[in-house]
Amino acid sequence: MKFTETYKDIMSDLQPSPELQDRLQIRQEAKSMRFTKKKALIVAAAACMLVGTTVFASGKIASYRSWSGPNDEIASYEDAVSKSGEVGSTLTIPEAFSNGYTYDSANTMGFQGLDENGNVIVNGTELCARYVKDSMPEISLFVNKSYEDEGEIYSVDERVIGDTTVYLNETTYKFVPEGYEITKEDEENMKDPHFEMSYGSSEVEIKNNSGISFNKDGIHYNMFAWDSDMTADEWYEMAAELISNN
Amino acid sequence: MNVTEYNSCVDKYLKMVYRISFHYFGNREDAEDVSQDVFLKLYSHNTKFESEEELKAWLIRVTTNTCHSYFRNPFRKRKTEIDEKEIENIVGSSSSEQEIINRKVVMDAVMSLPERYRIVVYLYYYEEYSICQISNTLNIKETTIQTRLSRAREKLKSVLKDCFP
Repeated sequence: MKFTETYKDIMSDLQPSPELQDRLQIRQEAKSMRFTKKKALIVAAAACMLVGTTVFASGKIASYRSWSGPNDEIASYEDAVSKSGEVGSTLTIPEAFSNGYTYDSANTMGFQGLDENGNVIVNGTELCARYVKDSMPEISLFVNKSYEDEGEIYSVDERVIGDTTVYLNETTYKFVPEGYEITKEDEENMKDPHFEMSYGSSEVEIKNNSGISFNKDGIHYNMFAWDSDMTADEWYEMAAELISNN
Repeated sequence: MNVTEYNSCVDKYLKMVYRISFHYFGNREDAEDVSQDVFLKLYSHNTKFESEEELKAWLIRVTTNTCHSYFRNPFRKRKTEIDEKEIENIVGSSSSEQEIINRKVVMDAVMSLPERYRIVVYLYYYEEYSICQISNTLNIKETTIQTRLSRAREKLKSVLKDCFP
């Protein structure tokens, strides 16, 4: 057996499903791509992350698609600050918070907000900065321009810090495989706006998303983590440090 | 990029994007998710490519960056697992039993390498890129690529012994 020959042989047989190819092709009559359900739902879940725990009413932004390109990774804190200024932020994203979370890396992402029919309503660039602390869950800070049609905000609490209303958001996500049958318990849970179900994962997984969001000077800030033990007070303290860092 | 050009790119490069993604994740689901993401980015990309080589390099770079992002994605708290059944399906498409065994050994050996070595192995041995081309495509120093390739070869040699050049 020769490695190169055998390896090349295997690679020739390593192919995506015909369904994927079909899905990615743009048909002239439709002029749009069709996402898998998982992707559409991840986009919708990501939209909730972008604007806090947000429910979108009909005729408003129903989903987002976002992407980062090869040159959009940002390593240095100084470059991240510069990029946040380009997005329009009047606040300086902190290099470190007093609770020990420190800047790790960031990237810019393009995003589009789509209505229920897939029409693009808004186009923009956002900054995602990541903060780390030992083995604690990573915190993501999204900074993007606020848009009026962002629907109603379902926060669990709010607090006024200075002249800014800061919203505390907590949502439980239940990720389930395709074909999963919704239980009576799921049906009850879905009546709660702080519970979301998402299809397409390989196994049933429950994750809690928590964080804060606020608007300031036309810019939306959303800071969150998955499965974090941070208390409401700790989140508000981080929000206060961000708001006062200008 | 118009619709015809885009569809032509999908026809031409989807397999390459998928293979690169598969080298990172070792399972079909994640590899297809990344592939979909990459072509969404291509669809939204506004700048015109000067050449076919530039387009291909862009796709490879975006695929590897997207794979890295997935590891950081909050939806994935733990490393994605290699799907052994999927590997067996791929290597099993041969009529000879000995061939199947050989293919399994080779695939297992490659997938046992760290992800950053697997992509270099793929570009070098399958896409037949030179060290310089890999370096330019991934925007990583040539010496780093050389090191990764050497270490990959050492590990592959130790597993595959006589079969490895």
